[in-house]
Amino acid sequence: MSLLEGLSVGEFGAGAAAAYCSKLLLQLGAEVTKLVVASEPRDFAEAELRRQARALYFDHGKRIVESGEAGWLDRMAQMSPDIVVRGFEPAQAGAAERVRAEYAALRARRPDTIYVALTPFGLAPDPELNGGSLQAQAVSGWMWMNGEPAEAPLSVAYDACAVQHGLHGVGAALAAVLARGQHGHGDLVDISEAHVTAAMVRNYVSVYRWNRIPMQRAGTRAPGSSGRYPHAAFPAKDGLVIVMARSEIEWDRLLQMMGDPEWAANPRYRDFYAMATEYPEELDALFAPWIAAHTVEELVRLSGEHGVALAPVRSVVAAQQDVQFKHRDFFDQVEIGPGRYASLPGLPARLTFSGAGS
Amino acid sequence: VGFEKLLVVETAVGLAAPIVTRLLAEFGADAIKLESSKRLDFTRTRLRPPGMSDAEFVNQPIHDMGASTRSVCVNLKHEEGRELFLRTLDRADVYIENYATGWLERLGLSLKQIQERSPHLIILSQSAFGGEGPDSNRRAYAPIMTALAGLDSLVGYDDGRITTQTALATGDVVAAYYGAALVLAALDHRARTGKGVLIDQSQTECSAALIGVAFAEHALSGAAPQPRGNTSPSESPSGVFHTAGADDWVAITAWTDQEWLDLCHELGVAPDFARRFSDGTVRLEQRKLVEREIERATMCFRRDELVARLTARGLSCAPVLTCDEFDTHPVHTGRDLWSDVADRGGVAQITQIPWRFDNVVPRSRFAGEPLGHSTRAVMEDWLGLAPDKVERLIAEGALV
Repeated sequence: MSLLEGLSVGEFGAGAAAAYCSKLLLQLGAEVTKLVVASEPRDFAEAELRRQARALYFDHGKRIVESGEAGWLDRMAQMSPDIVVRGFEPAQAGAAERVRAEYAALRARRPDTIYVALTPFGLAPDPELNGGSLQAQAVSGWMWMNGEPAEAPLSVAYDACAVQHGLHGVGAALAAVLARGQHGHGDLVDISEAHVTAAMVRNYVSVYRWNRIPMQRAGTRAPGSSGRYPHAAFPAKDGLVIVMARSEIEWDRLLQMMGDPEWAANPRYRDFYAMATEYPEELDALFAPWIAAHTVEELVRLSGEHGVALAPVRSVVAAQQDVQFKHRDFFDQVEIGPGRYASLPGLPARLTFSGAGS
Repeated sequence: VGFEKLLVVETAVGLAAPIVTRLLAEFGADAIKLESSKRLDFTRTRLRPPGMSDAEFVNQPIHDMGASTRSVCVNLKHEEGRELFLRTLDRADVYIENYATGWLERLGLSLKQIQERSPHLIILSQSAFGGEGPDSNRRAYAPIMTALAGLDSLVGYDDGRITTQTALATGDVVAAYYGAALVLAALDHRARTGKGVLIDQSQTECSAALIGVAFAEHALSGAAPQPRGNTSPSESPSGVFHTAGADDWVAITAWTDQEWLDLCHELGVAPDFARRFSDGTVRLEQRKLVEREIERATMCFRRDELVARLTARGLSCAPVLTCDEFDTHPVHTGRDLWSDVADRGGVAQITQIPWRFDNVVPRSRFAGEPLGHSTRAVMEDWLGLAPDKVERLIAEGALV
């Protein structure tokens, strides 16, 4: 049994957002057909690896149909899916007019078609910017908060922001499906990556503003420790760990884990706001050497014993070995050659239907 | 969108689950947050920074997470409180919870029991690691989840230095929107089948799903994915470049060979250099040299002047906006992404759900409510309790 049995989705266009949007709809049980324009393998090895990796993660399980750039709209109209997922990357001049024309053409064939436009900057008002995911991250505030203070602001690689964009496309598309059940009309859904990312950033910016913490990238530390020390990544003997304490109780547990050091009796180290915002480097000088003297494994064990919020900054390879992921059978196994399988993130939830098993 | 007949109940803290509730409420649902003065949501207990006056004290997180949701006090440790909780679930269409795994069992209940009692109900149970398994009882903050998922190891510079992205609790917001998508899919399923669904969502899995391309690259190449800075494997130049200001930056990408030539022309890069790297594969092979030359040129321009110049030429270029300027920049202000709501004589500005339907943006209906503001109204409207009975239950500690 699946949630979206019977729902049909057509996908066309460029960018990871549209590809992920229809992938997640597929994972939820929809039937997805992707119209693609034939493309050549890339000469540059890294570019070809990325092209293949995107196809593997985003497109596995979709029905793939080759279509010319000119003929895709007719083909899509013939298919008449419930939802059309349309990707634009980079943003193209006149995208808004194209969207309106495409939406009208699709609705002429099927009046309740839901059309989901996934663009870097949205359709209206005219964004007056060109670009793709990198440019969308740049205007969202995201980059300003990430990276070293004296170096370039950082983006998130491997399509993570574009995938979030596609996720919002799924939510909005399904809201439109439910609304259609009430009023019979198929909406034009307009989701912008810049706004999706800005909305996320702003949830935290409002907290920083409220705490009167200057918002500026601060390397491995959250700016002003986001109001409570520590909130940062520290180097252990053999890797990085994230350590956080968000309350007095958690700070005390952290000190206990360290063996209740003498310096902790200093009243300066009970003023939590000042510790976070005024002299975190002073605390780093006391705290970081203790972390650096332990292995990641030792720290994970100690943090578990003392109830401290601490975790290794795990590589993708290490994350695949996670016992909890394995217990929940989170990774999908996709064959990529004779006897070779790729472990790819699956649906991040388990479903139990009423009156049935999971 | 028109979810006016939908009833939503939440027992949750923090950000991720309450955003799902808020989203459904802003589409029209009647949504209530059951909470208790005996154990406050930590968004209600944030310390006021030193020197902040009463007049300035607007509890912004309450609005960002709790707007459009009614606050109802129910003491689940009180027998009658528990019974009232179950009666609200009998009426509800959606139940959203994210308390630490095992809390219901400590009250003599379980999600399975609730599902059996109310088979029509859609239950979203959101936790750091999922409701079953060796880590299911562990608690975690969002930066812990993204670190464990592998996401933080990919944020850093292209010389391999990892900075992580601890400033922003990505793992919470991402989980919120996965939760919303799952609930909306379950509502569609129920509309067709009449059956409810129990959704056991893991926030850490949500963070891992964001970087599926890195998992796929590892499977195909055998190599461990590393931070890439702002570089692209597919285009060059593509990255963040310093401009004339001390900390002013622009994000530029040349997607085609023609855009490369146009970019060089606008930046005043030597024609010989432009021609030498007119092939995209050659530019990728010599990325460092190419992008160093572009940055030498961008340093000669002021940020906004350069953005205007390249944009007019149809090139991909955007300013790296600071957190003090991004939400007042024209690229955002025209989209109705923020709205003002009244808060105790002051004003709080709420971030809206960033979805547009036929040019309409769902809006917050009202500010986050003070604790228990709607207890009486909901007990009377939803459960039909007489006002004097509600007062008795409050006095006896069931509705506090």
